[in-house]
Amino acid sequence: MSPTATVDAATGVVTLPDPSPVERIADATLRCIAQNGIRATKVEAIAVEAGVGRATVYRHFPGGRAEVILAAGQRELERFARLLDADLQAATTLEDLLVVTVHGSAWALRTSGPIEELLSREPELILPHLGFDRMPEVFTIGADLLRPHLRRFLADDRAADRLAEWVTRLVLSHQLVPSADLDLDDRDAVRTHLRTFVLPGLSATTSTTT
Amino acid sequence: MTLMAPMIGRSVVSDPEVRRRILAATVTCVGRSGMTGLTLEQVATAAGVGRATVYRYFEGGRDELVGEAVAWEVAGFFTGLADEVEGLASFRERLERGLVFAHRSLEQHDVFQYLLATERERIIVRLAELAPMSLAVVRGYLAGLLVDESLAEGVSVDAAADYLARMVLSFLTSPGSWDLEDPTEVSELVDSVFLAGVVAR
Repeated sequence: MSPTATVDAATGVVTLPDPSPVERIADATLRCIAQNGIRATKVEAIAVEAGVGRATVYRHFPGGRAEVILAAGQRELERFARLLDADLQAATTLEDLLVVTVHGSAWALRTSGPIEELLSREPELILPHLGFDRMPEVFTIGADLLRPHLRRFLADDRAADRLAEWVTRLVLSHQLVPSADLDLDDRDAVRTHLRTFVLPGLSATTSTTT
Repeated sequence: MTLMAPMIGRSVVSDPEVRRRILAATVTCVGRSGMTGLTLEQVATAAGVGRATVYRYFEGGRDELVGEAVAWEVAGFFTGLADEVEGLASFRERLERGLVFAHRSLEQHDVFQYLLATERERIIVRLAELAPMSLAVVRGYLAGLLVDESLAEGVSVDAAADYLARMVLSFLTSPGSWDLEDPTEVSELVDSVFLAGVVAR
């Protein structure tokens, strides 16, 4: 985590340093969602939480509530990427990179106030974005996040995107149905799992650069 | 039976065949009216039973009936999947055939596709609730086959079955970048994502 980021104690929402007005409103929206869910999060409440007037919210988000909530979702994703980025950069082997990805994203999902609130109280608002015909969008998010890092070890974008898809599947599966035997918060257990089931599959079909 | 039932009590009126007929009729009706538009009269008519009978089997009314019918259809889906791969010589072939068949069956499942288009939130939340059961069913099936396979060193049947079942369900949810209509792709998929770490080489 960046040393200058601040964490809201009540909601677990992380504010990255030097937020712009748009980012401040998005962060306020995330805190509202973490406390009351999406349905109860109206522009009025967002404005109060952000310490601005309603008109200011609408000036930055002409589309109103829907646009703010979308921005909040993107902000949470950005936070996710920023939290993982330093560790992803620091990984010196493909194995380390995958361990950071799986362990770090499970941690980031588990500690996200807004996501936890949605999964427990308004699953019907989040789950439909994670299944079936919407899955390709989720895979694209994972691939965009991981591609630059994976390309340090893999020969082409296709191999990188397929591997990103693979680990996205693993993380989502364990998020949906936690395993009694594999704790994604246990870094060593994650490493063993990846060594056992994922890494052998990479040497089987993709060309890796060393 | 109808006359006797009230006297002998509810537990006795449970005829598995009637129950099955009501559930099958519910799935059919849901495919026409959706989960929220469904009425018990429709189901009773389609099943060829009285409305009171539907209530006797599903005391919780429509919500219980629909919830149970989805679970029943999901269980039937996996039974059909197991039947499809029955008799195939190798574990590998079963996985390949199973992935392709499961994907096609879901694409061609009219009721599911209708619900995905009309009551997306509701059906996905219900399927997510059923995910632990689905995972257990697939895991149990795979574990039964894996005991006869020669596994990679250090890999237990349980760990392999859990991993593979998660991947089967994930690919059932979405094939992602893999073309499951292309046998070469399916073969590459099974060799890498599914079996590379599982079977002894």
